[in-house]
Amino acid sequence: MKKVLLTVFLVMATLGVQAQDKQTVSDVSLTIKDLAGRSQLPFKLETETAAVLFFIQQDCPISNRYAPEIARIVQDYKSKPVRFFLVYVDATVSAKEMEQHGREFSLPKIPVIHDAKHQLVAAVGASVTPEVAVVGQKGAIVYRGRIDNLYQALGKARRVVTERDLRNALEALLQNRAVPVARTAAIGCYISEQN
Amino acid sequence: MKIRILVSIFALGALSLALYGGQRAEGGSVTFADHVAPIIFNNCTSCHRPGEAAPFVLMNYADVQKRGKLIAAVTQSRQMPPWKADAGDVEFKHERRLTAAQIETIQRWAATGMHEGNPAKLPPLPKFADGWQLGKPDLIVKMSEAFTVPADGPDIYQNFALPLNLPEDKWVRAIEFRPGARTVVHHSLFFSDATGEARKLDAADPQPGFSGGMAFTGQRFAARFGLGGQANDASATNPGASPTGSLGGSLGGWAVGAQARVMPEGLAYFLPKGSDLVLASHFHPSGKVEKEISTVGVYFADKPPTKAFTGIQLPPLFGVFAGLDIPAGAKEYTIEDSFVLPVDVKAFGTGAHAHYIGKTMHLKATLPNGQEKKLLWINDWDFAWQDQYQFKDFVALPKGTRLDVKITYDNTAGNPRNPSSPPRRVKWGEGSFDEMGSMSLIVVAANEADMPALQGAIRNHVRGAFTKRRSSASR
Repeated sequence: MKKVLLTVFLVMATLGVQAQDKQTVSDVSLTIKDLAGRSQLPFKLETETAAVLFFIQQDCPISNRYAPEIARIVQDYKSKPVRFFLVYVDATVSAKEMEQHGREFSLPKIPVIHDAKHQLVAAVGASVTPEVAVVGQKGAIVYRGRIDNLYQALGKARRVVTERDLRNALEALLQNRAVPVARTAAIGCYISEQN
Repeated sequence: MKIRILVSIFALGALSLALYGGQRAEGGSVTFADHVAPIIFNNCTSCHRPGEAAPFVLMNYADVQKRGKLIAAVTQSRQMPPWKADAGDVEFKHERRLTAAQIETIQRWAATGMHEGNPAKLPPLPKFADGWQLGKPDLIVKMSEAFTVPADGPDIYQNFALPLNLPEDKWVRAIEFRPGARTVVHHSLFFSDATGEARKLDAADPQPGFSGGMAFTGQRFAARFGLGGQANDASATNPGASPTGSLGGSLGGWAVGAQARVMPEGLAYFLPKGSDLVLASHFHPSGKVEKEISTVGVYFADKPPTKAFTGIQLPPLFGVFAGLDIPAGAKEYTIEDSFVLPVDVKAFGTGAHAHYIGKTMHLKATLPNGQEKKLLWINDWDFAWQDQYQFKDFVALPKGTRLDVKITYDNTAGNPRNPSSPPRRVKWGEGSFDEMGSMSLIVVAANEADMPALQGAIRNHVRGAFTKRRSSASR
């Protein structure tokens, strides 16, 4: 009997690990209000190919340095079946501060979500800002990590960007190919666990 | 019964052990109030406070706890506080290095729950001077128009010529630099220019200031001394010091986080009448457009200095004669230069210059008795963090001491700072795809009467480098 239980447990554990490997968000219907007060279901795709979540922080210099590139990416994929969200992870940032920050850094006009309780952070497993998660069909996290390889380490910026991982992932998805590199380590400010 | 007693005794023992253990952990635990706050307040808060250069403030428990993991990471990697020199054998003034013990304390605090401790034990924040750190300057000059730093793109190096309109020669003890847009101004090097050359370049450039070269010095040397090799003659006309000699009219510099440096007592930079102050500033885009107007405070010496000083640059003139030719893919291309001191000197400052693919910069003194002193030891050169270092005390180096400089370059694709992708062959030049390489030691002669002999030897060294280069080039 014990053996059976142990086996069941092991099988379940293995399945759990496998599920984690595949990495889908646990609740595809997760609903959250954006800054404009509209209900958003960032993981629920309708006719789109993917949803892109930019995790940012208003006082993280690396996150801020990416503002122009975030704007360019949104612009470049404007006509493509991709949805974009800006997700502020700082628990204490106010609506006014987010609006002001968006204006100051000319962030694109896409839905802004204040993830004060880190529901989205936890759902996709984001750990730093800036970090990006690309969600495909059925909540599959098809890409998570850096926007590009501008930073090799904290304080070590490249002179030349050579890998544009997010763009590569989007190109692949739009052409119905597998994402070439599905996970990268994002470099930036750690998302505080104590919120 | 017996068993029960035994069990009770055992349980009691276990309980007391647990209590004891718990107490010990508590007594040895790291808290913000007791251990971490003094480190943060004394090493970080001078910049991490409102209105200063750092992107966020670190002034209380909540601020530091929120960034705890980041602080632990960047202090361990020594990215912060910004100080590129490794521990050598001499101490620097205003050194911003944490000790290994301080770094370990932050690590333990971050790993053990970042406890606040007893807020009553929190040390007070240091008193930070508002405005000019060195008091009211004798002369305040300001950029006449704003320089626009774009939101995005590579780092920018721009020079600005600021007229000082000095009717007479002056001696400068310190220069304090105050950036307007603090998040984008990374560093600024100061030079005097009595030739009017910088002013012309400034006027010719449609933008405020003028670009060109990685630093004003490089350009100036290339233009004026590039092939002539006669660098050190200006000293003859300024008997008090040799300011435009191998220091190239340098007046020091400022980097984000640095305190204004005052020259040691009795020493001053020479500032000829009518000269302009040139700021060679480094900007890095922050994600939004910024407009920079720098303000500079100049502090004059009351009287001419009592001693002259000079720079010993190895290899001379930023390595123009060092034959730099770095193949694409070279991991550890090395240049070296040595100089034997002809007289007793006392060193008080040091610095280094290379561009992006410079990797290690080592300056070592070997005294006649065989004792070795690491004077400046940079193992992870970063062009963005050029600093000018002042020793805490004068470093006595007797006649016969050999100075050895070794500079290495990493021209592989694995070097994130490589401006070329894929890497390409790199030679000496002032552009951002070119390289330079030299280290400097700033010294006074222990006996003032020995100064001409020292300067003569430096001149000979420059000539020697030039001759060697010419003969190897013609071969």
